Amino acid sequence: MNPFKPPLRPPGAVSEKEFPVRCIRCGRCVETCPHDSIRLVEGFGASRLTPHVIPSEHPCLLCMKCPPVCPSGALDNTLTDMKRVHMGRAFILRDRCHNYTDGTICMTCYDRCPLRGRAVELEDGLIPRITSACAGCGMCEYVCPVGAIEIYPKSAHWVPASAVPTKHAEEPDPMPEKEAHP
Amino acid sequence: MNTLPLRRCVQLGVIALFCALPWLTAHDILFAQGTLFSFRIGDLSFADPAAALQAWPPQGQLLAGAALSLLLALFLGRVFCGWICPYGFLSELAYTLHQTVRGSAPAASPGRFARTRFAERLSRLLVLLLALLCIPAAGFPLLHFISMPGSISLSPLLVRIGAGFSGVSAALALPLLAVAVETLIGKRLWCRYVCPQSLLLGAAALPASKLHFGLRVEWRKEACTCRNGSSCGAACSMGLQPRAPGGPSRLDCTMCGDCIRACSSRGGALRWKWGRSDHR
Repeated sequence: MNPFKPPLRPPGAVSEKEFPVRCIRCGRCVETCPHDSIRLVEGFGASRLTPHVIPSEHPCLLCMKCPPVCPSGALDNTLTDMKRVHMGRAFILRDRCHNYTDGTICMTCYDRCPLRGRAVELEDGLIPRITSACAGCGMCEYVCPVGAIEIYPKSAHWVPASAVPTKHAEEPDPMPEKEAHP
Repeated sequence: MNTLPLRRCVQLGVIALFCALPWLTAHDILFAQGTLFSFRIGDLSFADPAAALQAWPPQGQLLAGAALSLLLALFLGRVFCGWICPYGFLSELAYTLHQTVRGSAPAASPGRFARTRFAERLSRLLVLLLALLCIPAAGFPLLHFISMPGSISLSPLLVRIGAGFSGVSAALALPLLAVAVETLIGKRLWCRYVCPQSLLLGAAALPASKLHFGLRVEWRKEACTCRNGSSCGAACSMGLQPRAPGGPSRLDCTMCGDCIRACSSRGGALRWKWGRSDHR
């Protein structure tokens, strides 16, 4: 794990400052996750055995099964809507992404985003841009064929230098649940 | 009544259950979930009372689970320690192993016995208070790392998610080290001097001895045939003396029933009793 990048917490996590104090390291979220996306932090620091997601290995699929089982309130039990999740944010690296560098049309991140069409938009129908609706699940980092996307946890205070600026998402329209989960 | 075979079955069953749970949950078999930090079976949610004390700010679900664990201790005494706790099982094995190899130690004099009890309780209280006081400075729940039942029950999950040898051994290092030390020394040191859970459960069990309800070990003086040494005191792995009015203290007794088993061939002055003790 990158020591300078705070861990990416599961959906509904309290602030990074509070998380190690609240989390009782019971493993309920890890056990519940049907996709093996949640791992436990190794080592002997304050974050030892707290849950985190490593998007490049197993991204979060936003199935929303973990927040309700947390007994300690480290994850918000009431969070059931994936559109309200904000674990972190994806950044497209301008110097690596096909669409920005050599003009190859690649829409993998757009296609595989669980919040399709909301968190990643195609500018002019071609150029992917992350919007502020991004949940930070890490699916795009996982699927990107050239490693051009990096997820930064919401607790991170900086963004990668070559990041494409985040587009401000329009106010979320009251989309019915059945359309949100195709 | 010899409850030892039943108790061993329960202890092994609990260990088997926690070894299987991560895989059962992965296959959508969800009758029970969790570890001994936080455990759900059916609609009942239990929590480690020490874990609930550390979570700040206090959380309703965790407190309710801890209250349920303490309520169980109030009615049944420290059955968790004697029947469920995986570390308790390992510690008993270590104790038995030492006894088999080295023979049992001579009984302590009454004065020394009382001092030992006091030292045990004080030591566990100090561990609990120190850890709780240090949490704000440390920034994480310190007691978590000395929670034997939780750490042991968490390790199968670490195996399932592929935490690797380092991850699993980090969770099991302390329990294994403590068992090794106890095997050498021949005393159940962790349960007697360190375990914060045992103190909380014992404290929860204590009111029942004053209020005369719940499960207890009862000693009937008139049926007691031992004169000098007692087989029940020698049988107790916690070093308690069951030959006392009202039985062994609920603060220390793990309700294992070893004393009752030892006594059954010597007149049967000790027995399980529910509710009011007739022999005080």
